[in-house]
Amino acid sequence: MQTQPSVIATGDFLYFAPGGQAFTIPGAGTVGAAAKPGPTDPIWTTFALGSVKKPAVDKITSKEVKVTAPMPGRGIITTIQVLRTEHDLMMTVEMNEISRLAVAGFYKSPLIQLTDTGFFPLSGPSSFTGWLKRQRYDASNGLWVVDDWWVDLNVTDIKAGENNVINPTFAFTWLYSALAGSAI
Amino acid sequence: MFTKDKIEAIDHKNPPKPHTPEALAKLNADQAAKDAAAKPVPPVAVTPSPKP
Repeated sequence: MQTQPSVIATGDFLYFAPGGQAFTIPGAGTVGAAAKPGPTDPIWTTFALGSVKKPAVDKITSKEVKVTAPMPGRGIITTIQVLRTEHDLMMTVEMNEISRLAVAGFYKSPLIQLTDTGFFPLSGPSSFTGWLKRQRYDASNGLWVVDDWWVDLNVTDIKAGENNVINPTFAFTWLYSALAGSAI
Repeated sequence: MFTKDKIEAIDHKNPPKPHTPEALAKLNADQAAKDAAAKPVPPVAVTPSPKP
């Protein structure tokens, strides 16, 4: 647990376990919203995302509903409560490398397996789901948060950045799972 | 309340070694067979009793 506020110059490490793939740790199962692989399972590194170019950006958008009522003894209506009835949590991140996940996510092909020697654009599912594990470290190698998100994976951009290096941009949308959360 | 017991970090200096293609293919095939075997039997259709 982080006990005091601190200045963080963060480095993020991302790992992704695609839905539908088998895992064996802590027990045999298939990756899904109700089944999360343990941290030592090889599935986390089999479909590697690569290294993070810039720390991920999180964004929450909420739908606000204002509840209004007259002030006591007056004919003026004011806001007495704000409800946020819909939430959307997204993480966008730019990576240094092109990976099989980046190619499949951008060109909408099926998940590219280790034995595949090609892929077919627009022939896959419209979205990939899976477990995203984000580990944020501070400048002194202190691990200060571990996020486990059950997400929709999308690759929104695969443009060439500085020095002609291609940097894919991933967008992860948080989906509900009882196993999701963050350790601080 | 979430705890680190539940949300566990991967040792990023010594991460798990990725599957070999053969190992992953076998693992997926074996697990798919297990999942298929574990699927519940669909309910038997009820035959309505004949009208008196």
